[in-house]
Amino acid sequence: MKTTFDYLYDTYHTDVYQYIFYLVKNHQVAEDLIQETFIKVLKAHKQFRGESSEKTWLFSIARHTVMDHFRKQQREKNKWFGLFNKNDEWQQIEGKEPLPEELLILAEEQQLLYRKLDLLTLDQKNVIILRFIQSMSIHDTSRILEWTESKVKTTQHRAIKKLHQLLTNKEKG
Amino acid sequence: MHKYDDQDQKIIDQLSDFPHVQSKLSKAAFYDEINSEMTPNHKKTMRKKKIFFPALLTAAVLAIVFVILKDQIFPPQMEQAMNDDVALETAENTRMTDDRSEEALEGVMLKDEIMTFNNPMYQTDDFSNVKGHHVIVPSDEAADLKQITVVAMDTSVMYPVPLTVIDQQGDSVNFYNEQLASFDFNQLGLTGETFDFGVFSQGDQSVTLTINSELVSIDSSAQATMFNQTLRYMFQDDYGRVFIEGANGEAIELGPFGTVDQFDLDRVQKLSYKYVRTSSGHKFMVPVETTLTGETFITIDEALVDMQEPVPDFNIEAAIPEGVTYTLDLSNEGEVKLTFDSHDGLGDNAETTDMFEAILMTAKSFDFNHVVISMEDIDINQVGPYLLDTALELPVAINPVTINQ
Repeated sequence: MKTTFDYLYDTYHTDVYQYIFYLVKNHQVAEDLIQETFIKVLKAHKQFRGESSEKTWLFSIARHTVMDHFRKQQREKNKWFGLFNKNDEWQQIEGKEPLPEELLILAEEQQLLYRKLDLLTLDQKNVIILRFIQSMSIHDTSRILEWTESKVKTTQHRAIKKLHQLLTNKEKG
Repeated sequence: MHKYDDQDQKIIDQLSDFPHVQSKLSKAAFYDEINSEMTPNHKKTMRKKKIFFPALLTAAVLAIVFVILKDQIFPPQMEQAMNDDVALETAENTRMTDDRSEEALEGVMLKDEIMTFNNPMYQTDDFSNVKGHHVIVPSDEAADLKQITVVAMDTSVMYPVPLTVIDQQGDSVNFYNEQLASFDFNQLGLTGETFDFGVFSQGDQSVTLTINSELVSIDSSAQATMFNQTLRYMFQDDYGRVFIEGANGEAIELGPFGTVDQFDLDRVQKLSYKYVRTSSGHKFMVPVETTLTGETFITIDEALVDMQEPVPDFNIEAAIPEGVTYTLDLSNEGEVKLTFDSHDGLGDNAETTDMFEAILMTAKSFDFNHVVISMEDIDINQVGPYLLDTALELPVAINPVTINQ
């Protein structure tokens, strides 16, 4: 197992960690989720059949792991709601926690953009992170998200427009 | 192609310049953690952190800029007129599906033609053995008859429309091989060209599709999605996977899927059910897997919200009428309890019956056991065959169809 681990770690750990981190925006949670991801990958690596690239396969597992994490969070939240009215507020919330140290070097405008990512839908955020922060191709992004390429393009377009709108509103406000 | 202005490009550039973020854990420590987790009998101790899940209720307001042409028979004009993102995606999909969807659209009968069709091949309502409109429930006599799922597509080839053929003899695989080729989906205002892909054979625990590689051309992601959806809806109740092979038993190259020898059939679940009104005047229930913004549903309250969203460009009607409000109570395990506020459109009528049936199917897709529906300030105790304030059984199938002999 150590050999496989070494190879996977050296090849993908940094990129996958970064992907997870920008989704969850919390180092501790990202550490837990990448650990979970690597456990799944190591368990399944022998069965990997090469139908997709190893990289997209690994990212896809990471994505599902993060989704599961969010679902658990949501279930926890629902427990508290019990009685759930359709008018209940359930919307994206802009994070208020301090910026991670790596991001403190960013210009104020970029820090604001980082904050505004919270206001995207999860799908939009996935596309933005994979396409622009991870510099993935549309093809690879579509493989990871299990979407059509046209859906990736459309979601990307909407996400950029939404960020534009959010940043513009902020300026006006 | 989507166009970005300078500000958009600046955002993209800034995103690309976000710093690399690295784990604080060393490789050795990370390995130790993993090794420890993978050790048998190890109890997992994940730290719990709170994260806010981005809400899914943000409505991306889809600019409906185009009054869709009657019967969707002029797709090129439809492509030109639709200028929002959904339209762009649809146009791309339409182009990708190439001649197949155009042929399908050309083949759709106009409503007037259907009306003058004296001997319809299919019956889609007024069954003596089905109490409801669009579903078969366990207490229906039809529930005891052989049911075969056939998956058509709406004419925009965007939504799968599962049909339940009832009262047929023989098994479903024989039906697919022998009768589907002559199934005239156009008479129902639907298209079903995705069935031209080969011959099914049934083993003890499996089903195999022998692809006719001369006929099958899955070149685009859209076609691949349709192909996959069709197999899922047809077989996922009985099989976990479908084996795929060529005439000589070889694996097959299927466009975006690559070379495949089997398909795992992911369970069809967590859906929002709506209705499609076809050009032939038929109304069918449609399972919808994502929100208008393309997100999958995680909880039933999201699906219920989506059920209130029509998609006029594709003749998709909301299952819960606009303006209807309700309270959802999930506090009893396995139960969906909905209390509707008073609304002019609600009552013992067809629209409300259809709403009930779509809710039952949506609840089923989220693994609930039953649904209780109440209505405020309304002096009736049932809607169609469905009693109010009573645990309603969940359907076994949707869109019943019989083939007239």
